[in-house]
Amino acid sequence: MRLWLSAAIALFICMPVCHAALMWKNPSVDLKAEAGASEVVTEYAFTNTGNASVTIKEITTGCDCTTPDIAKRTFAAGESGIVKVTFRLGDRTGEQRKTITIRTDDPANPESLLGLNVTIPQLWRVSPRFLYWRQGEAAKSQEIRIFVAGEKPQRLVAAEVLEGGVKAELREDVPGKAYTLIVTPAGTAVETKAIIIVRPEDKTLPLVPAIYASVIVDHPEKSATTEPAK
Amino acid sequence: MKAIREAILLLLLAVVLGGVTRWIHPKPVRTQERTHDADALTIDDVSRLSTPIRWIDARSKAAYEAGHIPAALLLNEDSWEQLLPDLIASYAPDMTLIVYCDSNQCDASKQVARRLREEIGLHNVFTLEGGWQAWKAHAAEKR
Repeated sequence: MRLWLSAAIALFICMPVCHAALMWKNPSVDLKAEAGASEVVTEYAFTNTGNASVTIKEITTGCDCTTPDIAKRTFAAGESGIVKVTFRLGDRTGEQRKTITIRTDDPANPESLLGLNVTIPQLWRVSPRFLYWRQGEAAKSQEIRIFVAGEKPQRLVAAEVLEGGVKAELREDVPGKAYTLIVTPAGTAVETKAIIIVRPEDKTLPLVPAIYASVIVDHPEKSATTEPAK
Repeated sequence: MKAIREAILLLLLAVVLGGVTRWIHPKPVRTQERTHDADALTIDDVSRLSTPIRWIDARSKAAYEAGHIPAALLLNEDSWEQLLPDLIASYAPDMTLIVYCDSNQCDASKQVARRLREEIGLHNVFTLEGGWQAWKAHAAEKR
């Protein structure tokens, strides 16, 4: 009896002592993407500071755009490793906060959350990018604000309407920094789907994101494809 | 009696050693906590809506092609500029837009919903609680 009791107590003592623990050197990373970059890559270094081995069972991310990579899964006591994470930028803009979850077989610390905060620079900020008028309503002008988000002022010189149906006038509010695009439909009797392209004076710069202006006509078939799920 | 005394002593020793261990190996930091999306609708919420619904799939093209909610439009941030015109062309002001990604573990639906509101200027934009996994489970229950 005493032997069993001692063994149980010895095991109890060992549980907190014989453990694994992944210590992350920098569990939250802040990066700024280069202009024109398609991806950013970062590494999370860790060390198993426990005195038992630890196995990484799973690495999950909150976004298809974030791909984790690790060379091996099991790390002995004292061993270090790296989780490499590639973040595909796509058409993302502004502040991006992504989370990577590491699940291990360590019962004391089964889950670690890593943070990846990436700032993707924006040259232009447009709000809103879509204007619409309902069929038959007054053909009043609506406005769109365009800001030069970069540090250097950039002149916008022309607003070109593709596919017609609206008139677009560009007004400079703060030279090189802030503009207003005034959009007026020719009428609201017929369906209109216009795209407005705003061009910077410096032709080497990317265009301002496309702006959409529509006169919307209610079609019976439009709601037929959007029934609520019953 | 002696055994109980020894057991208590060993227990106390274990507690002391446990404290020392914790002091040497503090718990790794949890850097970011997931937050609840205040604009998320459940499947039941959606079924009670009286407005037309436009489902928007914020997952990757491969995931969308493998299966999606019927009539859902693909709109993700990988190809935002290329995919946006399809939504604009089919938009109706009385629509409710419901954006989904795979499950509660993904954030693509929140990001797409935020851009639709802030950048495009649309209203009535929500996300689907539980995403595609919740919708699949709901569809399986109905069969």
